[in-house]
Amino acid sequence: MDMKRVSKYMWLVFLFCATVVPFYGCASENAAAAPKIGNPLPDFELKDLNGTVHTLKQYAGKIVVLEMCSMECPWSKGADPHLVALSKKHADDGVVFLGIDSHFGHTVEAIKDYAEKNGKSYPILKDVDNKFADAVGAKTTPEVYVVDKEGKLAYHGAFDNRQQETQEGDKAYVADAIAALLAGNAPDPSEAKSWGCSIKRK
Amino acid sequence: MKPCYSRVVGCVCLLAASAAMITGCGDGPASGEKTAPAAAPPPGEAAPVTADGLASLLAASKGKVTVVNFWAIWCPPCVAELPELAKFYSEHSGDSVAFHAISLDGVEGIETVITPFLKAKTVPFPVHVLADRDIEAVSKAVNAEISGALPATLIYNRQGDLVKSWEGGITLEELNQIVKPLL
Repeated sequence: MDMKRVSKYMWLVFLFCATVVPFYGCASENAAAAPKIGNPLPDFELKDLNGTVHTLKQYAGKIVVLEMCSMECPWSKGADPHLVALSKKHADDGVVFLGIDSHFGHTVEAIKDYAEKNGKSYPILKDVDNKFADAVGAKTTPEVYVVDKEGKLAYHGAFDNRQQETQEGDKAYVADAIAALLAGNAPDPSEAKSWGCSIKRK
Repeated sequence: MKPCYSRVVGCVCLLAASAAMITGCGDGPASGEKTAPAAAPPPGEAAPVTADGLASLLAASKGKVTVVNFWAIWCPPCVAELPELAKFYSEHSGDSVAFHAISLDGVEGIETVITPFLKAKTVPFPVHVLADRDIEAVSKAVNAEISGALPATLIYNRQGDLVKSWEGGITLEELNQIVKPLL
């Protein structure tokens, strides 16, 4: 096959890739795949509502619960009281709770107002331009990442197995994952899906 | 130099097959153990559907381009996209498009919440209300990876293969860009 013919075929390949492949691609094209359980969660550098910078690295040696949250999503709001109660329960156990708001259009002032009115006492970090959400492939609120003391992802997914936004489920996945890690065990299950609201990206 | 058309055609076919395997999000609607389609409620009304019923609904839609939209009244972007979906439904009522709106609002609210909402918003299409909200069961029924984030819209070609899994709000224009080439 001479070079002219090869270049002709390359054009066909290019044309095909440029037209067909993007069309058949799945949604959330900009988001990375979810990290695998047991792998390190990507670090972040995000400001909370008071302007204090938080990184995942600074919490090395602690269990970190990251909650992709929304002040508008009823499922996220439904989980809030339980997450706040859990954060208080484990305040002296070396467990850090952080909310992350990645929604486009949610201002720091509006989130602060929601948090104050609803007693959401742990820090909420503003993920500007949904960079962290993209880095971890986050799709839903609420969607929880529990990171072990070594910075590795130990649990990912639903807060509990509720089938309705305001009805508490009978399997408290996040509470069980924290208890398992504190006891030196791996969470089981380590992943669970949840209905919720899609993260509104820029 | 004589062009080698058969090789070119072969190359394109091979690429098409490979790309379809790589980029496809699933193998299309599950055929469903039960072949009887779920009873569709009248336009603008709501009726319960199980995960098995959803699979049957999709199996019965093969031969048409099929759009499945997961939504809920509690989900603001879902409510925001309803007028776009209503336009899409009306625009394609005469052609080979099957449109299935699947509500996550809970069957217990059909009479008290969902039906009044559909009437107030003059929603023109029928709404199936999921009686079984187990995400894994629903994912299996629609043969797609459902993350649980709403709204979500799945689009299948006439052969029943999933060609697009869309999360977040969708517009009439975006829907038509995907659906029209499949008709």
